Amino acid sequence: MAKIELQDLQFAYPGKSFNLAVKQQVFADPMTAIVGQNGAGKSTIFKLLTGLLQPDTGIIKVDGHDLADFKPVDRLKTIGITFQNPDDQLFNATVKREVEWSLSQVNDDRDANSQQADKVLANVGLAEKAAENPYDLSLSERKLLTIATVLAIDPEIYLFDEPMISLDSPSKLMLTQIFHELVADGHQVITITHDMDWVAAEFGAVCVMEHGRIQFTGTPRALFGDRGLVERVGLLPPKVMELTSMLGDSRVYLSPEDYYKQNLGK
Amino acid sequence: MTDQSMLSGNPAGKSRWFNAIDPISKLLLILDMALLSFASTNLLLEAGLITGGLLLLLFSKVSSTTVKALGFSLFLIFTMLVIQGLFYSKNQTVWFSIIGINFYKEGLIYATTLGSRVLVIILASGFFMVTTSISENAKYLEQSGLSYKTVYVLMSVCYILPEIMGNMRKIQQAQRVRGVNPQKTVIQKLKSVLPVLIPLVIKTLDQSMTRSISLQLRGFDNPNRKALKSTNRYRLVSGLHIGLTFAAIILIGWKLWTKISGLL
Repeated sequence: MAKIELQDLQFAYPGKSFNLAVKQQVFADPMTAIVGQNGAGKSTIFKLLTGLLQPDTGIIKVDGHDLADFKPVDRLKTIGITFQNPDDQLFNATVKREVEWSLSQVNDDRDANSQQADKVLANVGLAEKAAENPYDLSLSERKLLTIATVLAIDPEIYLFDEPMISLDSPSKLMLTQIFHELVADGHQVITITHDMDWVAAEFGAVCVMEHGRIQFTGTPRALFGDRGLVERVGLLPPKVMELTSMLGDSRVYLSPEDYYKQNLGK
Repeated sequence: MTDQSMLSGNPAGKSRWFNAIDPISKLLLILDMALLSFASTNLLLEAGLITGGLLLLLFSKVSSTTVKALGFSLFLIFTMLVIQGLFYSKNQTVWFSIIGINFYKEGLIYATTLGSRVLVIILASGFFMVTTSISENAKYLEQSGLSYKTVYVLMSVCYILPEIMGNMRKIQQAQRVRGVNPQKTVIQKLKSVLPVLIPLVIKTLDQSMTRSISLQLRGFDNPNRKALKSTNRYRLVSGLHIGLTFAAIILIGWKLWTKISGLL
């Protein structure tokens, strides 16, 4: 699994008071969630990781290599990202062509690209819509399509900016399943999200950001066990914990299944 | 400062001295300063106008956009000084030499006069832009008797353009991470425009549609809608309008007279 490392990273937007400063951070877990309030610096980190922004100082390393030295094609093969709004990325006449276009940025073999596009569209449940115009799809399907454009390239590291927003329940389950499959295949998934139930239930590591600084990195259990921190950075614990704390139980529960395991499954 | 915030002007709630001047008076002030600058060839007067413009900005609000505009125009003025100092058709008197290259007095004075006029216009316009918000303009125009629909159409340009620019930046970033990079040849450049243009047009149309629906739902077309009541915070409106318009007429007349008398 590829490993991202941030060293002495500093970044400030010109004319704005916000500044990002990360002394040392290693994204070592296969599934990491970046959480924090709006304006905490989560999207800025993603833009730095994809080269959309250049750090003022510091280095971003992927497997020990400085990301600044990567050629554009190598960067595409190493880090793939989807943004919050799918409509910012779609422009081809058909769903299949959209995926093929992404593939054509890294591979000239049209037949191989066509086959890979079919395979990926089937994975995200859009095989039947392959000939449709992307703008005729529902918002949830358009979001899955942008995710498919990244899955097609099969980069080592996947960055997802709020992937669950605008997805319906079946699509959310499908995406979670895809995440686990990616991790099982040796990929790394880093996700920005505000969905604490999802973070608690599915992720191995959480990175909490506040005012451009990383305040915490660790397991969801360690995070939600530190109620002072959770409250201070404006996060909500998982719903199961809200319920159990109302019932006077102060232990950490990451999901209803976790509650069952700790109390009833013995 | 973003385009949007520049157009939005001063924050609501804070009342400062420039809030007491109505938008039309500010526009007339720009006109008068520009006319005075163009009517005169006296460099001392130009220096006075530039100082006046700078003071107006310093005592109101200096935005990074104004500073950038000034920086760019100073670069252009410097280029103009070099070109006119060397090649102006009426050059006669050598003023100074740098590594054997002669710079002429006539060309330098001509370029300084032109440059000063540009600076006066930029400073005066900058004062208007940083001290007058879109909503203030809209309210004022509506109170002056213009239909609210016309005002909306006029002002929506000011809101929509920065929004489109913002959308374009987002889309460009989203496409860059998909592999769209700045291209070298014209055909490659044209090809890389499509991935930005199509989402931009669709998004803009979609936002326009949403805006239109929400306006209808909020009663934009209501025939009983009344104009906003005046908050009446502007001072000396009539006096300023009459005085500044009179000054503009005098300056135009003076300029015309100098032209005509030169021909006679």
